[in-house]
Amino acid sequence: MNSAIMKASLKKELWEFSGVFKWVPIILASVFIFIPLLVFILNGLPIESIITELSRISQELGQLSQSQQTARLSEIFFVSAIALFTPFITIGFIVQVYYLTNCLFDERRDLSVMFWRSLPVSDGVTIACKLITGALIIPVIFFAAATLLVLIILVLVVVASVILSVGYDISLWGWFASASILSGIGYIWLSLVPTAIWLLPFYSWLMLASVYAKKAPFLWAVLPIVTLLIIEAIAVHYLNLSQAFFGHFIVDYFSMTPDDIGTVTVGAKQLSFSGFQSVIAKIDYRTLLISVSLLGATYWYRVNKSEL
Amino acid sequence: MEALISITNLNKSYGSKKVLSGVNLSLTAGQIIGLVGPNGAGKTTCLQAVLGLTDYEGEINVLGHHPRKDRVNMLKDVAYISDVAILPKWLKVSQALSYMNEVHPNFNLAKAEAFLAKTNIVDSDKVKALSKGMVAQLHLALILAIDAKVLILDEPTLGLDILTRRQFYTHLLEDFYTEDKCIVVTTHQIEEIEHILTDVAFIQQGKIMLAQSIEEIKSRFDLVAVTSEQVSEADKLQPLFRNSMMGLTTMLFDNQDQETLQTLGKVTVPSLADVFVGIMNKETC
Repeated sequence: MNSAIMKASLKKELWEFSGVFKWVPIILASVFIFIPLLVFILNGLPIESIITELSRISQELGQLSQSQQTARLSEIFFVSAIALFTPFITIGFIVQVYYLTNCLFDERRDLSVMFWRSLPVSDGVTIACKLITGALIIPVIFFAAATLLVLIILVLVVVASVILSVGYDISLWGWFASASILSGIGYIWLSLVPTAIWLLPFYSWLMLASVYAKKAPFLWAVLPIVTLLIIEAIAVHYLNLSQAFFGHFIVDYFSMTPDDIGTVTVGAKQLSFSGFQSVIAKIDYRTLLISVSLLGATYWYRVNKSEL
Repeated sequence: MEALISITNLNKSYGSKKVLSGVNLSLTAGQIIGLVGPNGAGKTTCLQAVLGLTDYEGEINVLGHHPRKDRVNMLKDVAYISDVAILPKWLKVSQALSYMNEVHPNFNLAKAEAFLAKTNIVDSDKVKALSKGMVAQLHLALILAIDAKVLILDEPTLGLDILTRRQFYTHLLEDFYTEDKCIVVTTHQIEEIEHILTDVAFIQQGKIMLAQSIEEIKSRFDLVAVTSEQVSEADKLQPLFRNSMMGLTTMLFDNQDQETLQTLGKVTVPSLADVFVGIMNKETC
C-alpha cells in the first residue's frame, strides 16, 4: 500500500508541475535542433567547408596510433556530450530551485493543503515524494531530454555519414566504433544520484523555506543566508577572528576546486570530470547531519504549522 | 452505544488567546450534529483538533484512534470537507479520481463516477474551469465515495447559491448517511440544515453553551408571542431572549411550565435559529 501511495503522490507532483516539467525541456531541446536548422536553411549547408574540416580531422587522426585515435575520438564525443548536457543541467537546476521553493508553499497558499491532509497519506510520505521529485525526478527529466537530443543528433550524423560515404567517399563509420558513445553518456548519468546526495542539504533548506514562508519563499531561502554571511563577515572583521565559520563551510562544501575535480577513463584516455568521483568525495557526515536536521524541521512545520 | 468521537476537556490556545475551553462532546453512530457558533467561536479549531490537524490539550478519541498520533489510520475511516475552495485549481477531475483511488483504501471509484455522471462535470475538466457549485459537487463526489464512518463538514456550502446548498445536503443524506455513520457539520445557515440534524452543539468563545438532541431542544424551549399587557408578567419568568416588533413581543423561554406560558400568549416551537440567538444572547438579555 505504501508503494502505491508513494507512486500516486509522485504522479501528483508531476501533474501539478506538468507544464514546467514537460515544456521547459522540450523547448530547450527544440532550440538546439531548430536554431541550427534555421541557420542552415537561411545560409545554406556549407558542404565544402564541412568536407574540408572532416578531411583535416581525418588526416590528423591518421597520424595517431589506433589507441590514441580511440582516446581522441572518445574525448571529442565526451566533451561534445558534456557541452550539450550543460544547458539542460543548468536550466534543470533552476527548475529544481523553483520547484523546491514552491512545492510546500503553493498548497498552503491555495489552501489545498487542507484537502491533501484530509486523506490518509502521511506527512512523511508527502515530504519524501516532494524531495524525490525535486532532487531526482527533475534532473532525470532534463538528463533524458539531453540524452534524447544527443540521440537525435547521432541519427542526423548517421544520415550525414551515409551521404558522405555514398556521395563523397568519406567514411566516418570507424569513428563511431571508437567514440565510446554509450560509456560517455553513461558517465554523465552516473553523476545524477551522487549529485542529488551532495546537494541534499541545499534541497532540504529550500523545502524548509517553502514550508515556513508565509509569502515569497525564494526570498526566505536566500535572505537568511545572505544576512548571516554579512553579519558573520562584519563580526570576523571587527573581532579579528581567523575566518568566517559559516562562510567557510558554504564555500568548502559547495565549491569544486581543481583539487576536487576527479578523472574518469573514457576509451583509453583519462578525462577531467567533476561529475562523479569528485561529487562522491564531497559527501560526508555534514551532508547527513544538515539534511536530516533541515528535513526534520520541514516535517515539523508540515505537521504543526500547515496553515498559511 | 459506543461513541465514535469522544472529546474530553479539550483546550486550545493561540498564544495568550484561548480559543477552546473545556470542550466535552460525545458523538455516536446515527447522529448528525450541527456545531453552530458565531465567527471566531472555535468551531473550525475544534474540528481541526478532531482531525489531528492542530495540537491541543485534552483527550480526543476518534474511532479508537488518537488524532495526532494515528492520523493516517484514522483518516481511512474519517472523511472531511473543510471548504469548497480547497481543491487545487490545477487538478483535473480524472486525476482527482485516480489519486483518490490509489491512496484511499475505502474509496469507491464506481460510486464517485456514478455521482459525477449525474452532473455536468467531465473527466477532462480542470478544477479552475469549474464553477463554485461544480467544485462543491466534485468535492462531494470524492468524499461521498469514501466508505467513512465519520464525516466532518466545516462550512461546506460557504459561498454557494441556495439550489446548490440544498442539493449538497440532499446528496449527503441520500448518498452517504446511514445509521452506522456520524456526521459533524458547522455552518452559519442553521435554518437550512435544521431539518437534517439529530443533535446540535452551540459554541461561543470556545465553550460549548448547549449540546442536546433536536427533540430535547424542541421540548425544552418555547417561543411565546406575548401580548403587550402580559410583557411585565412574562419578564418575571426571565426569558432567554426578547424581540419587540410592531407592538408584539416575542420571548424565548427555557424549561418553563407550558400552562403558565399559554396564559402569556401564543406558544410555538422555536426554530433552531431562535434557540441559537437566545442562547448566544443569554448574558445580554
